[in-house]
Amino acid sequence: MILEQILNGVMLGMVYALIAVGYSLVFGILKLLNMAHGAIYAFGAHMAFLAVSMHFGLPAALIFSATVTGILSACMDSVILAPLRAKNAPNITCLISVMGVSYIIQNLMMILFGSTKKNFPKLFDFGNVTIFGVTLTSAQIAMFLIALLFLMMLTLVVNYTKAGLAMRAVRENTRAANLMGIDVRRIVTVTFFLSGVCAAVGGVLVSGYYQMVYSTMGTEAGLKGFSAAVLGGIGVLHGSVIGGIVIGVAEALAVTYLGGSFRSSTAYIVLFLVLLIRPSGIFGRHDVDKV
Amino acid sequence: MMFCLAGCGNGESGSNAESGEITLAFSGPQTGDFAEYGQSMKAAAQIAIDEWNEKGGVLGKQIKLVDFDDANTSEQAASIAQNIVGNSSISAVLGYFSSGVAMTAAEIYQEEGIALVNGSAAHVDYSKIGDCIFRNNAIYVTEASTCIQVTEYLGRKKLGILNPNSDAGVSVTNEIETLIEKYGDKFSAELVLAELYEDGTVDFTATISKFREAGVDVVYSSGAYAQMGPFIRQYRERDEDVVFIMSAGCFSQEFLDLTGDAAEGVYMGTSFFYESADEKVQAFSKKFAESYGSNPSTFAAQIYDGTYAILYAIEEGGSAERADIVANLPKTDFQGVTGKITFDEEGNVPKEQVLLIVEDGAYKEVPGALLSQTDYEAKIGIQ
Amino acid sequence: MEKLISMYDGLKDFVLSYKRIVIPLFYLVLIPVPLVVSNRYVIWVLCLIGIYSVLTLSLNLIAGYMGQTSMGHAALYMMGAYFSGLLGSKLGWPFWVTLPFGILGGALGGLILGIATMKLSASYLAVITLAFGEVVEMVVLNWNSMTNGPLGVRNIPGPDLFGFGLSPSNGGFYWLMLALVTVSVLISLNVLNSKFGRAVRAIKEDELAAKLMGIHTAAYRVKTIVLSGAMAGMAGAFYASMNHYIDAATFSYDVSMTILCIVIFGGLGSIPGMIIGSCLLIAFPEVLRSLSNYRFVVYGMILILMMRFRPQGLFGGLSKRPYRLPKGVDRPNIAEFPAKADVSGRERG
Repeated sequence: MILEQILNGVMLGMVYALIAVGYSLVFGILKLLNMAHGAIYAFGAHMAFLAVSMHFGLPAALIFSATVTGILSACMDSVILAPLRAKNAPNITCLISVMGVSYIIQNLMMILFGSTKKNFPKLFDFGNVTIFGVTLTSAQIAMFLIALLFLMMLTLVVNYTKAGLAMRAVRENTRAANLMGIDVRRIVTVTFFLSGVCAAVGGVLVSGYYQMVYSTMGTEAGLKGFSAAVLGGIGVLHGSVIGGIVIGVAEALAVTYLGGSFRSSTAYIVLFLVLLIRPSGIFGRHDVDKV
Repeated sequence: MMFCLAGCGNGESGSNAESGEITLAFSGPQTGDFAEYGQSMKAAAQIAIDEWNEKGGVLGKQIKLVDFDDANTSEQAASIAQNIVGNSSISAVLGYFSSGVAMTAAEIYQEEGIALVNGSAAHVDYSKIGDCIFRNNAIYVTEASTCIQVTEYLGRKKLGILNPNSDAGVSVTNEIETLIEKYGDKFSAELVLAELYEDGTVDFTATISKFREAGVDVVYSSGAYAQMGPFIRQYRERDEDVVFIMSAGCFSQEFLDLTGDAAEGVYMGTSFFYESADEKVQAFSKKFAESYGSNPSTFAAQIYDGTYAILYAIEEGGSAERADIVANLPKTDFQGVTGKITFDEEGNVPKEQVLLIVEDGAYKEVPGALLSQTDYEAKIGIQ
Repeated sequence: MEKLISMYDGLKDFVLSYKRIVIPLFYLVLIPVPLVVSNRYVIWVLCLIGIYSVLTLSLNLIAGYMGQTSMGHAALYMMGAYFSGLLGSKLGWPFWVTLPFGILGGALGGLILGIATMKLSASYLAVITLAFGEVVEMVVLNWNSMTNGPLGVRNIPGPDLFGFGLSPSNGGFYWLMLALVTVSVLISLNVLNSKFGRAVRAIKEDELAAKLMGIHTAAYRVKTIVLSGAMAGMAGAFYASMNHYIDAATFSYDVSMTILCIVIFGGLGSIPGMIIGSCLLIAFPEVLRSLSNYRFVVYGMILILMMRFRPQGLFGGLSKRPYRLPKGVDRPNIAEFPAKADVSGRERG
């Protein structure tokens, strides 16, 4: 029982990890909590839903959704956030702006797609697997493996490509990076594009896993993903995965021992405690204010 | 701005006498998360009114429906109620979706003596607010009896309950526990686990593991399709044998679409079934499908009957005055699409349910499986 | 466009500089409203505007003066409503006795939030408040024996004065609301012009610098949030007694967003901005019901456009009047002393 619940939690945790990396990518560079990420994730899922309902097939739908969502995310940056950064506006201004974006995306989706939950095709179905008396569905295993693969690829991109190197340089010191000839503006756009792609891939995987899409799917998932990112140390990619899994397991255990009505608040209580005890998260670095 | 508001509010008052129309108000969510419920209920009310108008209206006057969008929020509902109360041309009110929202508004209607007829509130105290507050909905007592009877009918022994952590869900769970205690060994199954879930839950794997651990072989829920769809799917993937008993919340096309193959064999109790042989039901379902584009849900049908109840009350009393409608509604007695409509002393309509099963992606009736609670208790020999 | 904005600013400054005439005139119009307008719906909406004015003034303390933001203000509002509503409903205590408990409830929520975020940056406060909102809702929904869980609290007594029941329909509640808004404005003004207020605004401008100047920033942050919570709690107590019924769903995330949106729209730090912003945005869905589908889209646009083009909001902004120094401080004799009466919300840079 306890083993089964922990595995349930790990699977759920991967869902959160997929969303958490999107927060981490943007925060790592801009120190901005991209509160629109949840809505963008829902947008990605809906784009895939649209493509699927036009009989594109799942792989094509995934590519379509990732492209469109990445562009949306990059546009959000260059239309709304870049002018604010140019004015050197405080972070809170950007935060409120992205909240506005999230509200617009979510409500427009509700108007366009309706508020009902809609069926999304299942990604995998090879029957069930039983390990140590624990039944896992093939959808769970496939979701876990694909998510892991995707997150590893992302880590490789950030750590071993030129664009990734530039991203890390910008994170360390924006001004110095600029002086070294890095086009900071472009790197920021690329980062937003990448976080949009992450959101879309996460959206498609999670929708396929639960076999549904709905316009408010980003609200709670976004907040949970954010909690996961903070727990792991926001800005640290592998931290997001660990954070997601910790929150997923905590949730499964809360349902087991406390009951289903304590489920969603577990993540927030974990977030609360982390910020009280170790605001920089498990793997995060402690930043010092410089004068 | 203030005077603009004043204009909106006052504009229509007094039009009752001049225009020779009788106005009913409908309030429900037309936007937001619950929009589909509000829109279908409004369509049903409009159908009822159109039918009366074709017959020549009531008391020789045509009937008009004015509608308001409360987005299923208490704050909006209270404002709308104040608006309706201040508009003296409105004779009676229909609608509101969630209990909490309906109750906020009901307090205001009770204070002012306007009849409110609702088709979906499940809260214990809703109809206790006062003599102006009515509902045509199967309340938790009926739901609980359905759960007990179907469990017995299927011969299952280990019952698990998963209800929403909401007014309705908590009331149903409590009532099932009361009934099981009351029936004692007349009820052969055992309640092994009663769980609650939060609105918005998507991943039920942890709850399902708990049910499976406890050896549950029949699961009852009064939840809405949006949560029950994923729940049943996730459960089915892990367990082929378990049986589900649902309530009217899962009686909709959306449930079938969302749940897909996993919906096969799911049972549910509802007070309305659009494929019933009854002529009235056939006529209503046809009209509803024409105007709204899908089969009517239980809630829509209940509002349709609720509209009839108000119009009968106006006809019976020969007056569309607010107080006369309130006085005449308890005398209502007619056969509607959701059964016999008579209000008890609290303002509830005692409901009988039929049992449906999903077969080949469609609802089928299981005739004779459900009795009214009193008949069932007589049958098993309980006073 | 530029010209239009400057004309508008001129008008705004003109009106604001004749406070002594405008404010009594305002009251002269507002006080007799229930005697003139018999429509209880209008009075109800006006009372709602009053409650939102208090809520926005309360968030304004955090957002406008301290430069931080709360995305879960509905939680503080809810705590006030539940503390006072439960005492009124379960023990039958009259409104005037339960009101202080409502205020206390909001303040308690503020204290928890304040302590949790004492050492964190502004962005984290926003998120913590969001999470706090969810946790408070969870407690209310699950603590059945105390809060009645999802069934909500019924039969909350309305306020009375010498045995005379005050309700929106007889206009009494309206006058009470007017008094409440006046009190909230006075509190805000006092905060603004006190040592406390100056310290808080110093935190907004530059927290590190404020710390180096010897301001105990953490303590001021907690105090501000507690005060803001107390005001939100007060609004909650009034809402509970106006509506007689509360449940957890009433105080949703949408309410938090509405409050934040009004504060941004009216102008961070501007007191008249809060009240006029509440009037416009609360009356908006009432007047334009046909547009209610797009209500939250419009809110989102307001947040973005305001941040981009007018971060000081409709009524915030640089005033042309010289800065008023506290009593006993001589004006330095510098010709071009920067005329920066910093109620502005105009950000660094």
